Amino acid sequence: MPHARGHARVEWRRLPRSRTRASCSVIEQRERRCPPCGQRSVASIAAIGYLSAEMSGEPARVTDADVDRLAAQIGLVIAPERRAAVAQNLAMLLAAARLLDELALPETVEPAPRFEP
Amino acid sequence: MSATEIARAVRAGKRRARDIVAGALDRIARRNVEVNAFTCVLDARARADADEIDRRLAQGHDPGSLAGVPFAVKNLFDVAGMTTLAGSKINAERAPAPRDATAVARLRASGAVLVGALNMDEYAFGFSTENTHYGPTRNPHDASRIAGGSSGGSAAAVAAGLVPLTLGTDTNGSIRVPAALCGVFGLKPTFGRVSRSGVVPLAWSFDHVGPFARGVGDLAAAFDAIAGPDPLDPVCSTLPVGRCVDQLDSGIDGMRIARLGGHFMTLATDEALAAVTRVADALGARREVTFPEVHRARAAASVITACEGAAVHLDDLRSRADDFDPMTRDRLLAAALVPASAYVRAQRLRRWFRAQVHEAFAQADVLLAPTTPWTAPAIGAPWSTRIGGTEVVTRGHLGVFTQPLSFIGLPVISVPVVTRGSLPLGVQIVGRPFEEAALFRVAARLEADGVVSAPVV
Repeated sequence: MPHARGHARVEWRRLPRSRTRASCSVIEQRERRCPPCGQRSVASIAAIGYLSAEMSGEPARVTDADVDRLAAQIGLVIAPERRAAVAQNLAMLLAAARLLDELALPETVEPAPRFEP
Repeated sequence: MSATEIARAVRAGKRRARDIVAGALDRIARRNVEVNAFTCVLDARARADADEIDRRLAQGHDPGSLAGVPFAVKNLFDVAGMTTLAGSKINAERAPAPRDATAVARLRASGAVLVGALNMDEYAFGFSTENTHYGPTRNPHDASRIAGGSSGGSAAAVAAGLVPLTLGTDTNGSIRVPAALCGVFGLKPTFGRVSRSGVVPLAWSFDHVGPFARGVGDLAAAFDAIAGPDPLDPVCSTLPVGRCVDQLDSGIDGMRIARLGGHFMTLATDEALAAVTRVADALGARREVTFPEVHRARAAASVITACEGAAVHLDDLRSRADDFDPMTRDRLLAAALVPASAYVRAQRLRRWFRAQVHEAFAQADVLLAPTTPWTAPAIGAPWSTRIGGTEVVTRGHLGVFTQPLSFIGLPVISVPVVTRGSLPLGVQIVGRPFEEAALFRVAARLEADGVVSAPVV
């Protein structure tokens, strides 16, 4: 079953009790899967984000088409079955990048790489 | 026997290096099937090296401070005559390394005997050592759980008593996370304190080399052997190195020790935070210090690691993506698509954050924080986990407390806190750059008082 515009639906499934860790009572473990194909969900980007609750603003969203377009620019070919997972990971990194944009740094702060000839 | 005890016995002529090494090889043969820490065992070479140590001793030569101590290294390190796997299938096709990595060469020059190479996440890009090519390394405390990563084999081999010393690397927590989950000591030195020459890079900005051990004395002895300038590593510091083993009994009088607050006290289990409280109480550390914008520091560390990691492997991602471990492939492919502006922004934030943290060190000399937010997850655990009402990425969140510290290269020792009936946890002892000796003094006090320990499991 194809996903509309590359976004899978989200399904939450609580794991059986036996797979949760008794020693970590405050933790609940969940798994997201796209019901039709079983792949991890692209739409989960919106819910998880890279740094979860620490994020502010709208989380990043990346479509399969975004992945193909960006990959083509640097000579990468992303296999169709991997686009959703790549999109998910890219969305997390872009969410992290957005977090950096939100903090105004003084103009005098230069990048940190060190090169001592 | 600890590494220190082995070296003392061998140097005194009470034990032969040959017998010590044979014992280690025997333990590996018996237990590695269960733990899967080793990807290669150098049986004949190790026995020959041990014989050479015995021969030099018999001739009256000094075989070195670590004479006869068996050790092993993450398979990210070059070992002369061996192919450096870096946890990958792709690198298995490469030619054998022409020489030892600097850290390996220095341990061997100190008389330690290399017995093999250890499992890891592919290209060190992970926190779990669930390696698809070489199988998962299993936690010696519970074989159904991960050992942590990316230096999982290095931590598990020490925890299981296969060898007393190992080497690993830490970019975002890859020494400290597995040390904590396997219940052993792990040191991530100051960035630039130990040479990375001959080590396959993950992210040049953050890659560190460091040791694992079951005791503070062994950890210090290994660090003393490998630390110091190396012209082969362009970021290796030329600052002089003092011997840390000489300072273990110096005590902590006058040392200002505080607990890191804010970010370092959230999104963790009660037991992970309780481990820090236990250590802080033992040290009389009642003050709390906070760093600003730690979550953004972690985000920046993630962006830089991703961009540099993708740059290292871009050619292979273009030509043979199918040969990457599925556990790393999709993340590296995504990382290759991140815009350059994000990378530069992250590097600028690194410099800003460093300045903020250095200011914070005016309030304390040594800081304490959890190493991981929880104990070792199950092998094959779900991708995401909910903690305190927040959903986080199960494996990525293991680095929530380690990433912001390696981001600016601070030295950290992760000490093991083991409670009867529970899985191990770690506490990070964090210091100013190039002040590893202060961390060893604190760790030695905790070990002497029985607060931290790493018995063989």
